[in-house]
Amino acid sequence: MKPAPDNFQSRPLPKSFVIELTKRCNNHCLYCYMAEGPSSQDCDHDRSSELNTKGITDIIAKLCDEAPVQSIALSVGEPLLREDLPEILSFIQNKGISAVIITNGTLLTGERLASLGTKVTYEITLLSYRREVHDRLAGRRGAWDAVVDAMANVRQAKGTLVAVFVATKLNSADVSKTTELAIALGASGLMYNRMNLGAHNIRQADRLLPTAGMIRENLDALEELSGRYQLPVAASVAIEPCVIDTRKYKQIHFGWCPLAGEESYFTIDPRGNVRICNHSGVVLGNLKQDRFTDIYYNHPYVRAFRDTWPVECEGCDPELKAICCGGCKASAEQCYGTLARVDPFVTISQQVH
Amino acid sequence: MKDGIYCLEAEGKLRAIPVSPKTQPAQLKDVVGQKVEILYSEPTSFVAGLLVGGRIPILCYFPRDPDLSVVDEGARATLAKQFLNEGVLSQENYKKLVG
Repeated sequence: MKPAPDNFQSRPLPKSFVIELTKRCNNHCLYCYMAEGPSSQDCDHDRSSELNTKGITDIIAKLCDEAPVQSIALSVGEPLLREDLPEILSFIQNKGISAVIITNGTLLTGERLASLGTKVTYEITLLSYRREVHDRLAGRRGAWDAVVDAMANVRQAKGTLVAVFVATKLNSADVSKTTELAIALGASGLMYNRMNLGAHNIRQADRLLPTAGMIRENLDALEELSGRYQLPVAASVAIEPCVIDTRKYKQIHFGWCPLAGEESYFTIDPRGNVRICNHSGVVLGNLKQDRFTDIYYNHPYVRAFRDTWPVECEGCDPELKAICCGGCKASAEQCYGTLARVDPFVTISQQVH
Repeated sequence: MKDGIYCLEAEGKLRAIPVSPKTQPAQLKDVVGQKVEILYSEPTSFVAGLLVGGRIPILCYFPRDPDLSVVDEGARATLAKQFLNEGVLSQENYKKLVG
């Protein structure tokens, strides 16, 4: 029997990218998945190391020259801390690329919304319908009020809004009512992300990581709500099917690791560094001097990321393996320093049960 | 139908109809040649529900965006009122939502 042909060098280029405009953030989320944790909004060191407007737009132009870019998500820490966000957004939109702003929502006042317009999708985190729960998870008072104002502003302006619910032990019981609040506030979709572990937040795992039972209850509730309200629900952080059988949920779209293929979303940080995704901490090059296509096709790490399987998956049901693609390898690498271990969510969930 | 792709003439332009994950392309056969009511639209990235003969709307996306859909506006308003009554939403935000 011949081995399957290796299509690594001929696989199509990705169409979606994440551009991290700043590592600074005005929230202090307990669950923050960034490898180094967020910087404060006033961190001068981080501010001075960020590419300026031209630096960012040059990188976007370079990406467009090399790849069939269709969508760009502007993200992490809080992109609205960049005063040049409207210029960057216009540059993207003038190239015919659809844009998403992933924001904690607290700075999206009516004035900022007017400067950014409504031809962009706003992805805003709503952690609970309860003020105190949201604020506790976001790490500061007043966050919930600002988020609800922002979502209402987007709705009033007839903009497109997707609500993001990050599931932790502290808010998993709130998922149904929070989803209904998101619908009331005009959300066109809900992204359900169970907390993803990384080098920074692994210390919070005992306190925050939701159990498999909590996630199962959340998915049951969301399946029903999605059908009742015709609200699309997507779970983008992998929920490995060896922990919870995701096949029974017909309304919920589950995201799996694209393994550095066409559906991947390579991530460019505020200095121009390229990573394989937003959860990975491994820098593969810098777009100020490197070509994206060189990284995509020739960097040995990219092939290793695709081809390395966690040892824990060796005896797994092939059908489940085909679904989950090895789970979140980036999370495993951040926590254990190797791609050959399974996502710590799996390990911890199986220890608990 | 043009070149095997279902299209919708809107604002004088012929636009390909990428259907939602929950819609089968064959459902669009019923719409060929008909004038249809567009329930909701935006200048870009808009979501449209084609209402045909009082049946369940066919959801289409321009451009395709499988993460978005059409939530019933009545349901939204009911929930907004409920959250207002519970004191979760302020009067000011409630007005923004239903005004």
